[in-house]
Amino acid sequence: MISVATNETYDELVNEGFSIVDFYSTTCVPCKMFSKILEDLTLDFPFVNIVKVNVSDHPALGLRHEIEAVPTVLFVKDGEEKEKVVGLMDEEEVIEKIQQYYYE
Amino acid sequence: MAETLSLRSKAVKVFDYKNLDLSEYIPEFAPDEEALKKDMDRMLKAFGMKIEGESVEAGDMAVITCTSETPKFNKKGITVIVGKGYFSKELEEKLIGVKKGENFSLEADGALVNGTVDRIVRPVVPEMTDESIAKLGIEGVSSVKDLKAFCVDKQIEKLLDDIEEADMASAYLWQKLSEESVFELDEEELKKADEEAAIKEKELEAQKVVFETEEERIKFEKEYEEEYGEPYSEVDFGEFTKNMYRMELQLAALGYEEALKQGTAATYEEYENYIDSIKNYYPNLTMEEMKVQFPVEKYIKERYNDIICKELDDYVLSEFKKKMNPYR
Repeated sequence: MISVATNETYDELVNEGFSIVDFYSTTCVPCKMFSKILEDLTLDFPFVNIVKVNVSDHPALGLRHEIEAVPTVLFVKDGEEKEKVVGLMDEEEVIEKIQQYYYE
Repeated sequence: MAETLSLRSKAVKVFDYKNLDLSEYIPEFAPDEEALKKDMDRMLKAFGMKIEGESVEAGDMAVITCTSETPKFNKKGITVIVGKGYFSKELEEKLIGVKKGENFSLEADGALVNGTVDRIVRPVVPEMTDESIAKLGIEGVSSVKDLKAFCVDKQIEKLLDDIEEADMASAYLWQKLSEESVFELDEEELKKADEEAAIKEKELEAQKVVFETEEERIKFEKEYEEEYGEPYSEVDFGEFTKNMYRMELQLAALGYEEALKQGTAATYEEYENYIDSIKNYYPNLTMEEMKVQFPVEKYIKERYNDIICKELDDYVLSEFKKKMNPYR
């Protein structure tokens, strides 16, 4: 499921289960590519929460997670940040992270 | 109702640009069949259903709870995609045939694993038929062929985003529309356009390459010719900017007529909203100073010119798709 986070909803969205948080901006081309990868992945992994954060609209969330470039991806399990990856990831890399953190 | 921002310049005769030949701009293209198949499968999958299964089959998503001395297999309510091997290939294979609610005890990856299958979710992907495609509810897509055309159109759009051919074709139409149509330009608006052109000319002149020595000039011209394949010639900025701004006024006159037809003519409130939206970029200017910097006349011209530019861009894209897409 893909959810769009705001300052108010972020914690609730990532608090339970395994989440992939995509920090993006609307003008960033790699972000658009990554967004499509996530859309594809959600078909195969409907049990993974995909949470999207537009850093232009919610700079406070960007600051809180020390986002310095987009796309930046956080892998979060039950609210705990497991890993932060800066830059575009391909589908296989994201699946590896799901294997590593969801099935760990 | 808010008063619309109008133009007094008008088109007396509008050239039919749709008869122009764009073939020289249309790039070579062959669909990426592998990506096409993947896209079509993905769309079917997206519109597929999920049903509850009674016993585990390959491809199911089985929600299991298991215990083991091996920490990896101590899980509560974990979803396993059976057969993919993301969790444990061996465990997934041995789960096949286990019924919902049934306990299991098996060996996987050298560990004894006890557990229960809590739930079985089975994705059902519709078959690739005209009937199932029609049910996807995509506008203009009611058959397998339509879906292929739709997906290839996306490939074409992506290609055109990366190259300049479509922009060149639009610019060609823009120029022909201006040259071949007949306009009655309002004297005041024309004077304003010429004034804007004169300001732009000064800006361009200020950026002109100035050579300190003759050797420098020769070196620059040589490098220019090597890079662009044609000799360097100085542009007459005066003539260039004057034509450009007059053409913009002409096309804006066309755009204004179109906006009136569509009921989308600009209003002063819209102009003020525009100024408001860009004020953050100019923190030292007041609203009134901003209005001097970005006068309403300029806004009107650009706003109506954009309507025609969009119309031309849409036309070019649709013509390119017709010619480039083998499924159309």
